[in-house]
Amino acid sequence: MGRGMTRRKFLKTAGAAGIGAAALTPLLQAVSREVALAQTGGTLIYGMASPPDTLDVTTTTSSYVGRVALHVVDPLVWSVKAGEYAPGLATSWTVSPDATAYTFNLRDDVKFHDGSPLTAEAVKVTFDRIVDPATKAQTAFSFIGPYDRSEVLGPLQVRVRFKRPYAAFLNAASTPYLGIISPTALRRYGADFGPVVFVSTGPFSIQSYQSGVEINLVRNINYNWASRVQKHNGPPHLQALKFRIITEPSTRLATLETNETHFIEDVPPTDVARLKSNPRFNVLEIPQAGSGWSVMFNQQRPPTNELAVRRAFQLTVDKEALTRSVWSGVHKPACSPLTPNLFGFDPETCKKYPRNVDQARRVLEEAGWQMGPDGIRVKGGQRLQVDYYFRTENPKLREMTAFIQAAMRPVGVEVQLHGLAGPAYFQAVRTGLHHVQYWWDTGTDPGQMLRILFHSSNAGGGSNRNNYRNAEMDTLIDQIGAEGNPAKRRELLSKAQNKVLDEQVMLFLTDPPSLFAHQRTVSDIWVDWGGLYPYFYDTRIAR
Amino acid sequence: MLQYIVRRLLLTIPTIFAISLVVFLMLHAVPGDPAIIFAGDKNVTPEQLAFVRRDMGLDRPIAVQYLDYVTRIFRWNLGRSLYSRIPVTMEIGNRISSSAELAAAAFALAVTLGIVLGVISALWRSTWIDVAAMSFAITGVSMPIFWLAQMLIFVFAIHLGWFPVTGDGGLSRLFLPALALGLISSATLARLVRSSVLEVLALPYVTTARSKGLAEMKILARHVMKNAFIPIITVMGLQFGTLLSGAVITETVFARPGMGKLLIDAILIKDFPVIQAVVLFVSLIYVLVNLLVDISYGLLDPRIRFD
Amino acid sequence: MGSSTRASGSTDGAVARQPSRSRSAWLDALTRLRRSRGAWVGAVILGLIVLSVLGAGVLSPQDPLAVNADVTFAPPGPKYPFGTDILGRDILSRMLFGGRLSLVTGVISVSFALLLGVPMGVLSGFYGGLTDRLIMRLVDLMLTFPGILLALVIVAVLGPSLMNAMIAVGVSASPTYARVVRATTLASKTEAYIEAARALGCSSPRIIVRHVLPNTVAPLIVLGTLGVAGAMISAAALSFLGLGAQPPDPEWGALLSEGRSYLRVAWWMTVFPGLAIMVTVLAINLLGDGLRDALDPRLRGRT
Repeated sequence: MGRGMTRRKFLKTAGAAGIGAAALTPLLQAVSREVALAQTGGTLIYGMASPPDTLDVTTTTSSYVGRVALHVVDPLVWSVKAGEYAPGLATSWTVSPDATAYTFNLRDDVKFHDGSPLTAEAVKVTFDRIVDPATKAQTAFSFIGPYDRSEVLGPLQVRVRFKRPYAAFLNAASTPYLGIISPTALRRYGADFGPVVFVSTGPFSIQSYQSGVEINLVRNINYNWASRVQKHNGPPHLQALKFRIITEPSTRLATLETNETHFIEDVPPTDVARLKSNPRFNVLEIPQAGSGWSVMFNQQRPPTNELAVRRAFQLTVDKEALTRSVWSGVHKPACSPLTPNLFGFDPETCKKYPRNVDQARRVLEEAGWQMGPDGIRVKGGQRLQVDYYFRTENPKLREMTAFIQAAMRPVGVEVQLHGLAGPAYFQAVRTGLHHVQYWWDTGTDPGQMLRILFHSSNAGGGSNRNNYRNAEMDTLIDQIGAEGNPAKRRELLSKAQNKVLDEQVMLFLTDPPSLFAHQRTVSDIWVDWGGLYPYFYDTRIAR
Repeated sequence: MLQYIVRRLLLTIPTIFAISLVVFLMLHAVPGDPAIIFAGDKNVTPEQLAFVRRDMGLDRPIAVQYLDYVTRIFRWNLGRSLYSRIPVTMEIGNRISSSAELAAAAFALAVTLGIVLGVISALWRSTWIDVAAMSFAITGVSMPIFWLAQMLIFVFAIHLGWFPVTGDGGLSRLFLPALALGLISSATLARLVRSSVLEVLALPYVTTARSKGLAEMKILARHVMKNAFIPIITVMGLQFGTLLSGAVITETVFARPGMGKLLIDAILIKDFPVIQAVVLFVSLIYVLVNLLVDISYGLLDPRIRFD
Repeated sequence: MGSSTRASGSTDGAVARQPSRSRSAWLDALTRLRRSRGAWVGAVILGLIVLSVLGAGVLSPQDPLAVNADVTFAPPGPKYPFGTDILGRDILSRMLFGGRLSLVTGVISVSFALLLGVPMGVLSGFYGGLTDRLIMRLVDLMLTFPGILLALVIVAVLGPSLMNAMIAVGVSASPTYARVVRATTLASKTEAYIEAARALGCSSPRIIVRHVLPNTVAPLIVLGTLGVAGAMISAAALSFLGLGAQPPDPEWGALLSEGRSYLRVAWWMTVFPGLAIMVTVLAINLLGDGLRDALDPRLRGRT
């Protein structure tokens, strides 16, 4: 051994150092990533308002499950605002002119939670599963519309075909209900996929679920395919998400105030003002996209089959007073079957048939309803009595019903209340026992909203509890569903809304906002433009 | 003694069967088709209905259904919730600890407070102590528990902030519900303890014992309490029943996820498998408690053993 | 569990050992009642409440169903003594009309309990043997369901409504009455005059009506009075849970249910209806205690 370095020795040492460095680099990268992750982290505790029926987003009927699911799956596209979409799992897409075929090009760097790569095959498997009767898909099934089949054109290219023109498909594909699942996992777990295990590509994966108590999601460290709608890429900052099921609204609110939860949904309207004035909290008040709170009239049963009777409701009920009392002024009075933030909402509908109680009386008189001795109108020996069905689970429905009942009595209409819970309620309204019942729906596609409410195919036990069957309306709705040209579509939507009001098919009460509240230490929460999905991918919790 | 216990135990068996029969018949007493109720919240076609009927065995004779029901219970299969599709045994299992700790805490409070109040008002009869205690008692008995619970929340949780408002888990969340549940029971117990102790104090052998000069406390301990305890234990057993039913309301008001709340929620949505299972479970517990009361009777009063 | 010597209070056993009442016995009882301070307080309070409730139409400052969006959640004040609710309805007016429902519910529930329990007890005690065993088995079975549980089961089967709540509460309270009546019947069966009546050839129904039933009146008065209090609370509890009175009926339990979500912003919606229940029940309990002390001299020594 000489004192100095021989060249060989130097090269050897350098080589060793180089190899060492090369070997160390990924290790160092992993360590620095872990260090970076450790600096973020934390668990966000979310106060959930409703217990899930299942965690399988394909078969669920609950919009609350959708909120959880958006963190576990990735949609093909993200909805930026009404009619505008950003890439999600799909980098680009084309739509055939007749809107019966959608071709998607997928990202090449996406992996499922089980490590298998995202392929076009996965899209086909996901969509075929949704329409398979054995799956018993609910919300997902209604979102996938007139799905026919998917064609795998290449490893990362898939064409989705529909039996009829379906203009609303991109909107549907942006919901968590059409999130893409892992075919490998599906093959592996079979019937257990869904009820027991659920594997997708999202920034979080399901760690555990204690029925009726809480859902635990843990971050996906390998996540690296965020859409440009989000602020960063890579794994989420949060280490975990815990959805605690707290159905009682005052309890849920209390957990926020005692710092047991970071974020709650469905804040009671009576507490909104108080929370807003508290510097510790931030209230998110986002107008919901959809149909708002409304009343359906059964067009098949007298007396609500008469236009005069339905019109009397419109002319009598003071929507502004209803919003101020029952909803503490947090809602806005509604005019149309669509909420104002939906594409194609016609503001002219707000000017139609304004409140006029005297006119209501006149309308009824002219229709032959004469005032009886006890203050209730009579025609041909029949009293003007209306069976009002509502669900008892929600105290707000009870309050709205009491309001409307009190409003209609001076005009000579007797409202008979029928409060029922759960299955008994559905049984009653599906068989059409009601004259009047409530509706509330959320959704981002206007054509879809109208179809649910007014298309004859949904009458007689389905969502169209108006039992409204009108050929002209059916045609309009079908046209709207097929029309790709925005200007033409807007025109058709306006026509439909005005027809609904002229025939007074329903009474539109309020347009609600989604009400969330969170600690101010929680930042960077994303909510979709429809106010339906709070998303915590970018979220950080300050210490 | 053993013979007495065994005899009492055997007597509970027909009772348990009778309860299971009542619980089973509950579903079939409901107006309407049970198959539709089981089909639940979905749009049901006649084919689906027929399937449900066969699947639940509703097309077989009632006697067969009952036997099947009983055998299933022995195999620990209580069915699935119509709403959540979760096995009922799991739902109950999740909730037991919450209800048990509430019942235990309330019972301890009720018994302690009730006996103490009852005894001191009997001993210091017609003094202000007596009047105060009995006024408290009669007010307590008149108070609706759902109102007391909310008043406690309002004063101690909302205004004073001493306790968390609702939910379960931890001692601080147990205190107010246990207080609400236990206070009213203690009021009833106090009144009855008082009259029972007074009755025994008036008996001849007690006054004799006093005249013999034994220390007052010794008399109390050996004679009075032992004899006063028989009706007291009866009432404690009955109070446990009141406690079980009061727990239903307390859990609802305090939003504790216990069996009482499970029952109420199930009744509201007509989730019959859950209703049946909880009723069966609670009744069995009550039968057990009554059995314990009977046994302690036998221990305290030898005369009863040879009934 | 089948032993009828276990007292459900000290009432039934002690009272059962009573000889049948003579006229002077009733007068004695009345004198004792008049001297009972508690009974007077109870009767006066109850009387005031009943009168106010009957006069609801005249006494209510507002229409109980009138909605007014301008005065939602008004705190108690001169115009609305007990405040208003979320729809601006006056709580005092709602309480006055609701009181009718609450009181009537209590009375009808007890009537159902008597209608069911008294025949059971009389038949059981009078005929004995198999009838007795069968009926007592049924009674014991009903008693295996603690407290409100049996009422809940009945409402679960029949469906939520005020009438069903009354039936449920009545049925679940009937075993106690059956037991007491049976005890009195058994006691009076051994009386000499019953044997005499038989010897004279009186038919059983006649004996029951003329000799057995009158003995049951005293304990039934006491039980019935206290029973109305218990029934009111039970029915209010069912309404509170959503299983009894349905909206917008302002029964007191239902009013408490309405106020539940708003305890923080409108405490008056909970405090006043609850106080109403408590004060009414307290009054009935005081009166009932007084009646019991008056009608059963054996118990006097204990108070």
